[in-house]
Amino acid sequence: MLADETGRGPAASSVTKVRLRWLAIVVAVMALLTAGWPLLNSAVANRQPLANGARVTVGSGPTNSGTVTVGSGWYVQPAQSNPELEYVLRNGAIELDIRRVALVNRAQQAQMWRGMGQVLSLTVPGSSLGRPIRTTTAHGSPAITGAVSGPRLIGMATIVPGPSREFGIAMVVLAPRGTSRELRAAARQVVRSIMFAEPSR
Amino acid sequence: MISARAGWASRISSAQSIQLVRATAVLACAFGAAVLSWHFFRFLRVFPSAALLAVALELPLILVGIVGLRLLRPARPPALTWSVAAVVWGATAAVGCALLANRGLIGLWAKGAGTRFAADWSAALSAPLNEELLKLCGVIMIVLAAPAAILGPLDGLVFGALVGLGFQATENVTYGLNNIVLSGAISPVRAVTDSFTVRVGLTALGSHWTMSAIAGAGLGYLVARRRGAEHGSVLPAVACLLTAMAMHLIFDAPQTAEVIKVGLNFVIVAVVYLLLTNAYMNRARRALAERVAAGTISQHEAAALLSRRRRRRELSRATAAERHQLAAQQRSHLTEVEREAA
Repeated sequence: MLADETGRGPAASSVTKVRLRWLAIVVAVMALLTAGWPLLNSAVANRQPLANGARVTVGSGPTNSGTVTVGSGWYVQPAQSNPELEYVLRNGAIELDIRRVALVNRAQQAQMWRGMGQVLSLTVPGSSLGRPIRTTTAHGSPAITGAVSGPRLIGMATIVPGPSREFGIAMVVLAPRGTSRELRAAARQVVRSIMFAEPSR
Repeated sequence: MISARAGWASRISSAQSIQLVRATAVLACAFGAAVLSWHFFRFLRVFPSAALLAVALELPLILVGIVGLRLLRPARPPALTWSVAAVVWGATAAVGCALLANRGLIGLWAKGAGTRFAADWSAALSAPLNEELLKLCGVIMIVLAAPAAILGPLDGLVFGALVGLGFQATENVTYGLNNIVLSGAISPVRAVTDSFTVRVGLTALGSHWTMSAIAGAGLGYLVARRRGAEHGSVLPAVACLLTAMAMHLIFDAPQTAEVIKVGLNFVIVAVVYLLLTNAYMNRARRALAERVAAGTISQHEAAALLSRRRRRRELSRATAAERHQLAAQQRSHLTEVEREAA
């Protein structure tokens, strides 16, 4: 870490050695951080099993969150989950993504379906979202749902506006083509179980 | 094996070692840019207007930041090439590597301590370690690639701030893009502008540039020690790095008001800057006084040398024939004085 004016002689050689040593330190630190943490992370199991009937709440505070109830065989992927924003649940080959979406105003509810289609094309390239169908959840909240299809995956997307209409819960079920009906039905049941602390208006 | 490596090192000339450092830095920046493209290129295809807006909004910040931060150095600004190189490191190599490192460490926090703890604390416990070290690597690369660019703590502070500026700008873009997904892609442009308003309007004054400025000042103490300068020391170097990490931890910690976090970081960097500048100018004046006493520079020249405005005024007063020579003389004197003062 010292300037060598001439680039020749023993002093220059010493400076070169110091420079190369520091270069090696920089490369080692960068490699250690950039590859070390991800490698260590991939060595630790990314699954936190959920008991049959366990409730998973996404959002912050009772009036700004939604809760689903899972059946047997489900687990959380903690590395991709954040209780305030998003949960990624898995059951065999099926993945269920539950995301809380903040809305600026009530008028934005109408745009949620189009937004979901765009987010899907970002996260699952080549996928498309079918026409929305009005439905209700097991607890009577109005929702819209539709089919998702991609090159290798099929599934279902559902949006349930929160009671305050200032947030919504967006859920996407994805599974490889050929996944058993029972598993897909289990995922639909989790989606339909969504409930809020306040009754829907 | 060790002797073979030592032999290999001794066969490399100083110029070749500098070339090796520069080539490594270019590779690291290309790697970082590739990682960022891999993660965010799809935004450009799905949300082209919002993605371009996110980038465009940062350009004035980068330009104003480069100009402003280079002015922090007394007497004259650091070399433009290396200033831009520092910003590019922060914007590509440091952010790209931090993206992978943070994802790994945050995943470990979530798996080990639970998703609730990770949601609150994983950023505060991961970013200070990963990001401060990766940004500091950029300042070290400048020291190695351009040995005259950073001679002491004040130079380190300026280059650290420039690396932090680049990091901050790219991070702002990525936060803007991620906010599109978090808001359900209902209004992508609004998501980007909302994120920009918070990250530039509210937190920019106390963000990455302040933290890496402090870490960079610490590296400057190590360089000064290696040069044999009296003020060079390992202890302030370590203290500066730990302070930068602590600033980052507080900045990312939950349940602390933004205004406190931003204000604290800004005050720390301002105080350190004022102290370093004061010490730097005292050493520069002392070096000039010695030269005046030795007769190598006139009292008149010495009085104007440390002020940008007064040097320009001297040049404007000189005749066209004298101007070129006077400018060269000013540069030569200034280089000598800066070397002693840094």
